[in-house]
Amino acid sequence: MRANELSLSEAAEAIAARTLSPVELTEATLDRIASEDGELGAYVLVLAEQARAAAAEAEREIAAGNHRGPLHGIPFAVKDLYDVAGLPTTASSLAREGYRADRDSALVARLLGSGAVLLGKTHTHEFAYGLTTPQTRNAVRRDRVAGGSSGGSAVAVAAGMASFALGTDTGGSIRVPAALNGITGFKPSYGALSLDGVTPLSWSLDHAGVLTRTVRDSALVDSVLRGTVYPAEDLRGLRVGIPVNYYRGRVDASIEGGVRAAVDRLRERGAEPVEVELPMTEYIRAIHWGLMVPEASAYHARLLHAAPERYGTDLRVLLEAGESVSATDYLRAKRTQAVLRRQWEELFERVDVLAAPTVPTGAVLAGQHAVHWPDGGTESVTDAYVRFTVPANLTGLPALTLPAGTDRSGMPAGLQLIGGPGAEHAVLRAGLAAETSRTRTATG
Amino acid sequence: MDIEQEVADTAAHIRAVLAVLRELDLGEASPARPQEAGNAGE
Repeated sequence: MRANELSLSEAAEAIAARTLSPVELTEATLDRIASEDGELGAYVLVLAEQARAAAAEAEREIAAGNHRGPLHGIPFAVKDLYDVAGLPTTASSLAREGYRADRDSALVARLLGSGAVLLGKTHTHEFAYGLTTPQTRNAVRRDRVAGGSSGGSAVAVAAGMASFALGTDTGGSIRVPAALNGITGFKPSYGALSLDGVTPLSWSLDHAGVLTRTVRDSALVDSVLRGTVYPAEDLRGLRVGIPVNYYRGRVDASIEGGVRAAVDRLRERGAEPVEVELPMTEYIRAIHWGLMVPEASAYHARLLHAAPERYGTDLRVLLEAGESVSATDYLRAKRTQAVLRRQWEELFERVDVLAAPTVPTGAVLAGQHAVHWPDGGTESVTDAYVRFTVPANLTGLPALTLPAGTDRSGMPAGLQLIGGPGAEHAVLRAGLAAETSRTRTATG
Repeated sequence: MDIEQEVADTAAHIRAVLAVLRELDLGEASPARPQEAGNAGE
């Protein structure tokens, strides 16, 4: 196994034990980028020489007995919405031509301070306003979409081109591409991670988070970013809510089977499944649109009017159309969000986590615009992908996806775990148990 | 289709999606998040 194929946790342990050098790990990862990224298109910018220098510095510090912690010497990537001092933040858009950050975003500063090695910046769906990231190809099958909007970060991690990556999640933009590429994505509660220095899509819904190959890796990065304690895996007494509505119907049967199997494994580990009916689900799509659409248009208004031709046509149409949303419709969405959030939070008096599919279908073919369901209905790819993840953005609740099963075409899918207010610990605890059980099953 | 027509069609679609929110009686619900609302009772 090459060093870049190790999970973050394995690499961190090996670096701490001085059986793996940060330089070796970074070189192996850069080699992988050089051989694969021409076709995968995950990176906007690769900082090879800067990464080599940072890895060499990490190696010197560790050799001198100054080991800063589990991310010291670990190579990572950031979605190109995060500012890095001296570098462009392109948001994968021509509209950002000429923009250069004068300081690091808060999370990048935190990671660099922990000794992590920045490899480069990854593609986003233009300004994070979409769920496919057309510049990037799926890491499992290259004729399929990467998912989005953190598609570059997901593919970089899944393909061994970074040990972990930062993303953002406004309607599912960490969890959807993570699920579609067979990796893990974790979005803590609204406001739990700083978005200082990150280009916004929707102030009411944007969350920062991390993409990793395992839940254990997500917990490790979270421990550095938020200073949290590593969760135990004991599930005795953990109440797992199983939705009887909303997450049913238009979902690939094979994906539903994968989620059921994952929940069965949690039950075997001591968790107690509890059926729950989710409130106000008929308003989820309207709240999402009512917040995101006008907020994005407000953010982009000045540049959109100055140089509309610098935006991709799809984005330009959405931004211009968003200007027609009235203030009263926007406030109605805000008020409904507050009621929805309160009603969902009440659910967590009866359960500790909700377990549901992350996506209703696996990665579709690149260029495909619609999903056709057995009931005869058709749904846009974007609407389908965002449907199961956006509730955690509207409510601000912590949510995790980890690999669970495949769709009927064999593409990866995810188990989504959503926790109560501030209950990141419960989400990671359940995720770790699900991951450990899956590994045990897979290895017999 | 020209961009102006696409914008008009998309705007109409957005309005149609948002219309469902008008069915709700939101009572005294405040648009603020709890930490923003303080003791405002939301």
